[in-house]
Amino acid sequence: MTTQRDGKTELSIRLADNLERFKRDFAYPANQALVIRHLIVGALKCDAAVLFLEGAADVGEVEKRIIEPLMEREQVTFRNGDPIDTVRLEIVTHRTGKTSGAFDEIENSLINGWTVVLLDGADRALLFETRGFESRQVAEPIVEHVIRGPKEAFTESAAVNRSLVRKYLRDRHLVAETFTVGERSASDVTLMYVKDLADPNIVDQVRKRIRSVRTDAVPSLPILEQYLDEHPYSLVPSSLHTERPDRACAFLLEGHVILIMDNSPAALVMPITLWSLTHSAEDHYMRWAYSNFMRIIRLLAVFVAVLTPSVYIAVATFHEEMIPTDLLLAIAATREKVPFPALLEVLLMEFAFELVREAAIRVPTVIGPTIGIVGALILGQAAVEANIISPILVVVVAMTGISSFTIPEPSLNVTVRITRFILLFTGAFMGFFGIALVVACMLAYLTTYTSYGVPFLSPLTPHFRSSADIILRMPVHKERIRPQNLNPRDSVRRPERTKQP
Amino acid sequence: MNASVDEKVGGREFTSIFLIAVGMKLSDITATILFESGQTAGWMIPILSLCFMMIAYAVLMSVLKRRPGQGLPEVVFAIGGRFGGSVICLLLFFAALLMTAVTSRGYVDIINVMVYQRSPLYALYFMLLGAAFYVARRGFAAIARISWVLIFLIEGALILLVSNMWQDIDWYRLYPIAGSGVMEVARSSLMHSAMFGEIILATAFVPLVNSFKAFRIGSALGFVVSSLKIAILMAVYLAVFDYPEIIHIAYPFQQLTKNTSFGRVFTHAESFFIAFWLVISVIYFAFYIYLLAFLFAHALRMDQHRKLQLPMAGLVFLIGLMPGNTEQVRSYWESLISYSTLLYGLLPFVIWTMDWIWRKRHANP
Repeated sequence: MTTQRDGKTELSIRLADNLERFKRDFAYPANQALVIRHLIVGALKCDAAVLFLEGAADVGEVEKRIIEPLMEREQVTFRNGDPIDTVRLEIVTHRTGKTSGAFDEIENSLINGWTVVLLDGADRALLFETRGFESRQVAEPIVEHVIRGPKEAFTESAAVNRSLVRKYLRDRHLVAETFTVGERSASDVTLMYVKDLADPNIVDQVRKRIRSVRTDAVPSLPILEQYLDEHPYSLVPSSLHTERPDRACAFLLEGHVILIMDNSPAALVMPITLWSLTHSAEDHYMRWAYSNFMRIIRLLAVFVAVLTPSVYIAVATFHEEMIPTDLLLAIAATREKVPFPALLEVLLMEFAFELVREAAIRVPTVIGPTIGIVGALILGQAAVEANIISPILVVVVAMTGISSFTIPEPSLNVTVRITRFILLFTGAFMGFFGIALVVACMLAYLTTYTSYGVPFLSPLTPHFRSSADIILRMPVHKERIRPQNLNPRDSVRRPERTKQP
Repeated sequence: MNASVDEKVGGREFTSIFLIAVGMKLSDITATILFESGQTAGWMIPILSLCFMMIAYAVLMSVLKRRPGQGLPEVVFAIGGRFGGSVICLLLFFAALLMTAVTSRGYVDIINVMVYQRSPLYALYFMLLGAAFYVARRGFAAIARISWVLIFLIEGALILLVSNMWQDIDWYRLYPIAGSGVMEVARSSLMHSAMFGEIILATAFVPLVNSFKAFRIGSALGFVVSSLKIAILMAVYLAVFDYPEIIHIAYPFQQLTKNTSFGRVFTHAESFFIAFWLVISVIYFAFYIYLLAFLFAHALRMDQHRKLQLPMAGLVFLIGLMPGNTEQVRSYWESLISYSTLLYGLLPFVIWTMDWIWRKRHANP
């Protein structure tokens, strides 16, 4: 760092020395980003310089709130004797303002869009928050799309995101703590939670994990998520991203904590359970019956996505008697011409499907529709006609594929796809016996997996009191209790309705 | 209640362990053996056996109640000294070890005979115990939590199975109701009461349950419901297959699932039930591997009982491979049950007496 180079960490009294130091640290004049505006403070008759970084600070604000008052204010008697205090308290009209004498702090502030005012004869500098990074407007969510419900999504600006959260959750107990991570490019991470709901142990654990991140730069939330991960090799995620402020607030109200960071159009929610991964934002915007219908469909979809190919292989290889006789004969007739064993067929088709999916994500949007045509035509029809695969398999793989699209969470989606392949091999190896053993082992893993100390399948197992918002949900007026697996400090959402006489 | 307390389990989870671990007996060789001695009254034996075992259990509980937070091993070490404690723990361990080996071999025989005739027995055995070892390795909490999440599905599947067979049931086949005679049935129940020996072994897990009350309710409820469940299912087997055909059917549960069909299209649903049954068997043997390691570690006063799980699974595998065929498994099972009935039946009284002496001695110093 700069301080080590000449051993000086504090500002000197001479303006020229200080400016020299800043110029050297920011490689001025080669680096044209540093803007230095010399001026004379009219009211004090002393030399001064205003410094800010182009692109980081809002120039209009700097001009109007800092430079203008400095130059135009007339000389009167001030109440403060110290020029720095005079400028801060009586001249500049900016809404913020602090002083600092340390080069490190001042330079960090400059990088983050603050404006620095140096006065000749003062060994401290004035700092004003004039952040003006470019950011896009609040847009509609892309991944967590809903039909009914708010259509605002987080953007790349942490300030905007924080304000979105505050807009949805107007509670004075909503705390926003800021941490700095990264040694070279320091970025701010905001930890938000509702103070009288979130379990202090969980908040402490998250705080400790953020503080223990030691690296040169953490550019965005997905990277931070991996640094914070307790089980980096596990197939199961331990936190979830949401791009919807309303969903983030719903989590906050249950006692979860969220992290917000610049450059990440999402909030990171922790701790999580399997249920928070499978629920969609819309589940609570629809009426009881409608949302439960959707949840049942999604639940079935998860089972289909995980199990269908392996069950097909197991049945076709080991348990043929399960298929109704007519269907069995029909399948046998179509499979007659296919030279490959069933496992190879399924693998080929699954691989092709994963290819289409991966290609559809990577391809530029303009040629996106082509993939659909190529995928559907070539993989579906031509492969069957060429006797590479049997028609029943197209049905199986297509069903599996469509089902896996209903899983709303991207991390869980990949987990499900990988699990499907594991089960596929065990099903081909040992039929239902293999599938049953692996399912038992998976259950053992999931029931004892914890995210920040919260069991992954709770409050279902181990059992905790909750409003049973697990697989299905109850009508809103019955959701009285917060899930106790998060150990919230206030467990009741709403007192029991007293009976009217 | 704090979620971060790993190993402690709640009352619901604990109850469901026994609903599974004890209820599993309705699906193995136990049923056929009981029909041999009880004839048409064979289905009553589980209920009577449990009644006998409950006496021993009540005696043991009266001792445990005085020593809160202590499980069976801690109690026997406290009142029997180092030597007495080790001997009792080792006795229990060997009874449980042989029982586990014979039972698991019986399960593998079922899988081998009913579904995977061409797969080598040792391979099936190895995979089953491998999975059970992994589940046990994830801890007692894993076993308990899976049991709780599966218990409703299991009971639902059982009800589905019975209702599916309803039209084949002829309740008159239960007559003569007293079977081989009242005294004979009672004697046979007493002889076979070790089939509920887990109720004595389970007391080792007192420290792993949230509260003593949860333990008491959980174990009692689990065993009573399971014995009723076994009795009802055995009555169903009898009513479907009739006596004496039933004693020639080696695996009535699997035979029953073979007869199920959903409508006229899906005429063979047994694989569906078998897959379910397999998942539960893994949990069942995981429970036993955990128990064996737990008992053995206590007998030798070791702290790290989890490290013993792999050797225990290996030991069960090796012992289980010894019997040559299913008939031998049955005869071993029979004699094992008789001897362990003696152990499980008498041990609580021995412990009670030792505790009584211990209290006398410590009351008047």
